[in-house]
Amino acid sequence: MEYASYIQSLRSSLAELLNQEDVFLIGEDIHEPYGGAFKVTKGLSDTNPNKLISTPMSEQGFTGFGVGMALGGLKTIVEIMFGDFVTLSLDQILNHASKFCWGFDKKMHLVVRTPMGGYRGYGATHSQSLEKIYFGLPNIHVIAPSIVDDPGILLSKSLMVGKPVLFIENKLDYTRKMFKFSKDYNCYNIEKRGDDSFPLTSISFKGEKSEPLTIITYGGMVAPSIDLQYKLYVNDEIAIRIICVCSLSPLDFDNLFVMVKDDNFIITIEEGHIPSGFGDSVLSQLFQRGFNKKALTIGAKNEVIGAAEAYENWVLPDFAIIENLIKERTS
Amino acid sequence: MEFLERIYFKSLLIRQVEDTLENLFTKGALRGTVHGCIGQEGVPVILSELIDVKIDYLCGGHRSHGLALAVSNNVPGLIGELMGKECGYAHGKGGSQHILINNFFTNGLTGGMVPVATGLAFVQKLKKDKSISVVNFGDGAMNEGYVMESFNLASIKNLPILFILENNGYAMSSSVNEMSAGSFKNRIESFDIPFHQVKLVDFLPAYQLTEKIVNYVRDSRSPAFIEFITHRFSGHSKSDKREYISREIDEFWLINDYLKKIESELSENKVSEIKNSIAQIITMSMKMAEESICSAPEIY
Repeated sequence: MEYASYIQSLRSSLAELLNQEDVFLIGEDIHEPYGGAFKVTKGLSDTNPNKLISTPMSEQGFTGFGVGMALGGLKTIVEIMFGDFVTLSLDQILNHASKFCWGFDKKMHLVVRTPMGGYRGYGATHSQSLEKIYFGLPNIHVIAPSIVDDPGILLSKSLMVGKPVLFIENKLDYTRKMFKFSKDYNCYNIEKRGDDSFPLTSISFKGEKSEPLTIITYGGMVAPSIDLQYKLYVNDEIAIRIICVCSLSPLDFDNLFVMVKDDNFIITIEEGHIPSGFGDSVLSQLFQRGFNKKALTIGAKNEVIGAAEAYENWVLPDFAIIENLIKERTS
Repeated sequence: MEFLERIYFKSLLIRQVEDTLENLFTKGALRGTVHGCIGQEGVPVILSELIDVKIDYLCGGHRSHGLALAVSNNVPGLIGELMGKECGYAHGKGGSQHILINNFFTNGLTGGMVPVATGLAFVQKLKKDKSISVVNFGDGAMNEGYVMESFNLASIKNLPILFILENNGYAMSSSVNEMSAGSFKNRIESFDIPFHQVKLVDFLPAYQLTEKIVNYVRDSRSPAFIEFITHRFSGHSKSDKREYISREIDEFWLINDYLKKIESELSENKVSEIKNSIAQIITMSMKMAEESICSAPEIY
């Protein structure tokens, strides 16, 4: 079933998964009455109290605990309260879980869920988008839902990958409505390509030839990118295309190349710091496959994210600037 | 085989295989590195007598050749693994530190298997039988953060896990006395986990204590901790000349080598029979490992 609300989709999927005998959820403050720092697990312990394992603040230890549960055959979902703390989980995911898939030929049904992202004034250590630390490593999948890629469906598919998955949620997305349920959804032409479970999704306007300009983005940047796409179309009659990626690593660069090879301009948008992030990786792979037009990466400035609104906005991607860039390019 | 003969056989097999591996490295016949356990055969042998890796979980760290041999008696498995051959425990992919035998897993991060084993203990607790999780680590692991976190998790969740500390006095070259504040006993008891300590200078008392504690964990479904005071005659790894270990310490442990003590209790005939049989096993295992294929993919 698909839900209109991002958080409801996630919560319902978790509730459904936890009804399975071998699925467990482990993390901090996930039980009632708290229900998780972002209320994703709200109410779940009422139905399945023994399937939620509340832990002390010891992310390294309880990530390893989750790795052990998965090694022992359980399907394990670990919740890390803030994405910033995946630094603590890295050793158990990289040096343990990912190696067990390889050396021991074990399927590891392990999903480490965590919210990334800023724009909420949480400051330097609670606002980052650190998923790039996990990109490009063998036997680690990085999956990011968005308002386009249903988080509940992606979560249940991630739990079946058989390799450790870092599952990147976004703090602002928790409050958002799924794209499919927006009032103008029927105006859009949606095409999916690549893997059935974790496809690349192209979004353009029905019956409208797009400019040869594509935004490639994921996660929490999808919603503001779609807003910008709509604004440009309605106010300035500029039709551009967006490609949403939900499997960040491994990323289907071959299909992505096929989708963008005739474009004249590619903009990648990520909330994490650039350089050396999602965009650089995407562009490098596209260029190696023959793309030879203009391209630009947008992301957080290489500065620490401040807590005050002015400092935060100075670092994080600003869609007014992106709007002007696109207008200049297409005028 | 009688109990003491079997203990002697298993212990000597570990020592001789480790010795063979060190010689192969010296000759340049093996690549990579190994962390030998000569002098520390006791704990692996004790655990192999009390833990069934088809039912229980057993996790080890970088110095796990002894455990691997003791639980499997598969010598070509170890030698083949170090040679990168198909007959190895992990089909030649893992090498010295990444071993898989049924429910026995090792990995190369100091203390890293302690949280994993704690999670495995949760799995065991769900089973409602007598199966347990056991994790073996050295004194170096006692200062890793996630090891401390695991003690806390095991205690608050009341899990059937046995923590086995093999304290050989040195984490690589760093003395445990210089690097560890307080006492391990106080640390463990502060987590409300029962703490036991035994100096492995004689086999039987150490064995009997472990048997009692293994049964306690099986029956009570709750955690326990044993610290074995032991000594390694191997270097930390193959290149280590052990300059940081005093002659007095080595001499104490040479006199108190449980293996030599058991040897003196067995008949000369039995000892020579076992020694011959081990020599044959090693020769045959070397041959098997050499003849085993390497199944690594071709380079493209």
